Amino acid sequence: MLSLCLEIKNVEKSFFSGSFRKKKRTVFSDISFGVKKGETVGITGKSGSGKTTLGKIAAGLISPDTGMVLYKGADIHIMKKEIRRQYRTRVQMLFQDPEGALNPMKTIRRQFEEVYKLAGIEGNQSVLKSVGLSEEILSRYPHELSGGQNQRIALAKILLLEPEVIILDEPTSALDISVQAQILHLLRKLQEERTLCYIFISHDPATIQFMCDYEIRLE
Amino acid sequence: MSCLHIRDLSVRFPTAEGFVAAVNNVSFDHIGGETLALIGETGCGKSVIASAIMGLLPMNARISGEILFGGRNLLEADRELLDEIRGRDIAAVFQNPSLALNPIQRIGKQIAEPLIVHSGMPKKEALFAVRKVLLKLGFSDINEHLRAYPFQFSGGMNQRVLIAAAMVMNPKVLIADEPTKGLDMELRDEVMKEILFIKQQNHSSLFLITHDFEMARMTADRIAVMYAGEIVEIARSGDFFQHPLHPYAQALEKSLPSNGFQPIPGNPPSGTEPPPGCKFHPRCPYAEEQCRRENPPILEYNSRKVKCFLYA
Amino acid sequence: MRPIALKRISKPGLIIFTGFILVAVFSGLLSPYDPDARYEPYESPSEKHFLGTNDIGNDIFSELLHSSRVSLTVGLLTALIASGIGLFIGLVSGYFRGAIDEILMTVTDVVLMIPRIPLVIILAVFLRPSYWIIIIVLSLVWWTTTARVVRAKTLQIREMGFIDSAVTMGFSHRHIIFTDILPNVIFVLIPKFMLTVASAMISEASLSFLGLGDPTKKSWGMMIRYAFERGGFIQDMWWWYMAPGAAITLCVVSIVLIGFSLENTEPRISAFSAGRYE
Repeated sequence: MLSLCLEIKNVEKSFFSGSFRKKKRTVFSDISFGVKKGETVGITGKSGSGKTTLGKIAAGLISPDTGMVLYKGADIHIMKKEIRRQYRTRVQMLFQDPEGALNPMKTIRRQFEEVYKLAGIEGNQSVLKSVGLSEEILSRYPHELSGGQNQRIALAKILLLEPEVIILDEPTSALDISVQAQILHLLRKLQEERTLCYIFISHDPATIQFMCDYEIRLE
Repeated sequence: MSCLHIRDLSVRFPTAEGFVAAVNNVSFDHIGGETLALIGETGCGKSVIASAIMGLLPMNARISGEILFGGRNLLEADRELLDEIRGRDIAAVFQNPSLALNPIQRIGKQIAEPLIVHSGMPKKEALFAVRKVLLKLGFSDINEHLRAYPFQFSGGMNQRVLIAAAMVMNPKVLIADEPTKGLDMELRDEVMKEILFIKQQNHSSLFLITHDFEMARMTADRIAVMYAGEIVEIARSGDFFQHPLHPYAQALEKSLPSNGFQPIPGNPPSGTEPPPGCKFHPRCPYAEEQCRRENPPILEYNSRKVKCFLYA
Repeated sequence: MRPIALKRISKPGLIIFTGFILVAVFSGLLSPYDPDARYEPYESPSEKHFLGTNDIGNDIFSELLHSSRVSLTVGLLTALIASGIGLFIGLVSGYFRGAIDEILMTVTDVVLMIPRIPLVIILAVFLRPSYWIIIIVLSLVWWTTTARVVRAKTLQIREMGFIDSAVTMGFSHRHIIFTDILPNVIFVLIPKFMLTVASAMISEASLSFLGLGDPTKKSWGMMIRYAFERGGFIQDMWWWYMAPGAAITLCVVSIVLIGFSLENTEPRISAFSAGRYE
């Protein structure tokens, strides 16, 4: 179905631990869902239920044990190089700890410059405006900025790649209440402007209700 | 019944860009037996107050004002007095349980430590008292738990253990700094229930520092709200949640999930270059000329305290 | 180098070591005599010859200054090659993990088991004794501790969120290794490098003492050997062997001081030092 930006099919993941890796813990099995343009799917569950793992599988950071992740109908783990590169650009992930997602030793300006180079575009700082940041943050380091600002920076970097799908792993859980509200509104605005698909991971029912069209609950 | 009185407390830190006033002329009372919740967001200075009370501020902090407990100013107390009071009369539970526990010592030993050190109890007796406390708190498999090491348990479990440790000496004041940060919903409720249970049992007072409105509403007798290093409102819990007075408190309430996540415009003020006049005025819907020029004093209003010219 | 590192670096170590480097570079200008020129042999220290002369009449002091070049060069080259190999293997192992990591670590373990000094001795017996054997063999066998340390640091950094972020954004492995991981790894590499220089110099001195160095280009270790072989010890000519010995010791100590002082200089980031309330 080509109207689906990203599709997860019958995905299962287990972790092995203990000596000789004998203990097997199945985090989830037979999960299937898809996201359409402009839609938000929520993934909820208690901590440890595998939400982040599922998110990382959708982002291509982890391979599932069985099942497939389909981008434009093709399995991301066996697709051809050009499509794989497309997948890498168009499917992005925003992480929970905003400061942790940025290299602490590089200035914000340098981090943006790297992304400009990667995306092959001219560096104009207009993306900053679309996330509500001023140019004065460019000369700073991540640890000098607040959680809200760092999360906006991470978001801006992602937007430069013109994504179709953004997987958001508890993007506001580490932020203060008033900042949470700001970021959630920003996310909604961007989704409307750019018809983005969101896969939104959160353990907070109120946030899920506010952001998502439908939800998947992991036990 | 003991009281903690904070008078004109200011704490400043030198940074590369100049002094940061983390706490600016804060005054309030903490009455024995009550639960006082200090609400504020990251960077408002609430944790600094807790550290100041416990005498745990870093060496480069410039402190002025008074912290009175039992008639004595803790800021001028010598090391001996502080050691006596800390852990015994005033106990604290801080945010990150994994940082507070020594990873290479068994849990039992760590919880029993205050008893052994302060009361001079022999180890066996101390462990027995600890077992009693844990039993009262509803822990299971107590003996195994005591013999285990912190890494064998989750953050939530360790936090509950730390609370037990804080209460083992029956302190008069328990300071809890974001005790449920990072815990999921169920654990949050459990931990708060435990804290309140112990508080009742021991007739101690609870100084709860949090950014969680809901938790404050459910547990506090009185509320104090902090913004940019200053206390902007103090009121009884019922009065406050029915109708917060200070514009910041009102805006905070509106941004709650239950009220639709309405965002507050603007950003929190910078530590090194705070706005002139009232610290909240750039983001306040009612700001006027006076607010830009003068920092409002704390005004009395219907037996509540607000730091805002609206109520002059 | 980061400001913190510059503040913490051992000043005595740095001064002394710089002194040695200067001596090595300017040994020609600083020596009173040509080290190959011959004078009256076996002379005790005097006004004319500060440290006396050796068995063939060379001025010992001039010899001492010139030998610094050899000793330092061997030490530095060995450390450079060893650190280079160790850095590469550590980075690759720590970044890619999995099968590559297991293979490389097994190789490392095997290499660790090779007895180094005996290996050098055996090789020298079959080939002409030269410093190159010493350099190559020592560095081929010494990269292991550097590899281990680099790998540990790489693993640690790899776990951090910004690496995941870089991967999802599509940065190439090469880019991530060079711009995200390497700058952090340098902080553990440099102290290790200094300590490797120190170890290499001592090993070279021992091996030269055993006769495995090149007799035409004397290092300090070689000087001591000749002092012992040609009767300096028996005749109690302590200035002949003590001088190079002291030089080795002093140089190595200065290097070790620098190495240890740099060991924990990673930048620590504290919220109190940034203009934020907390």
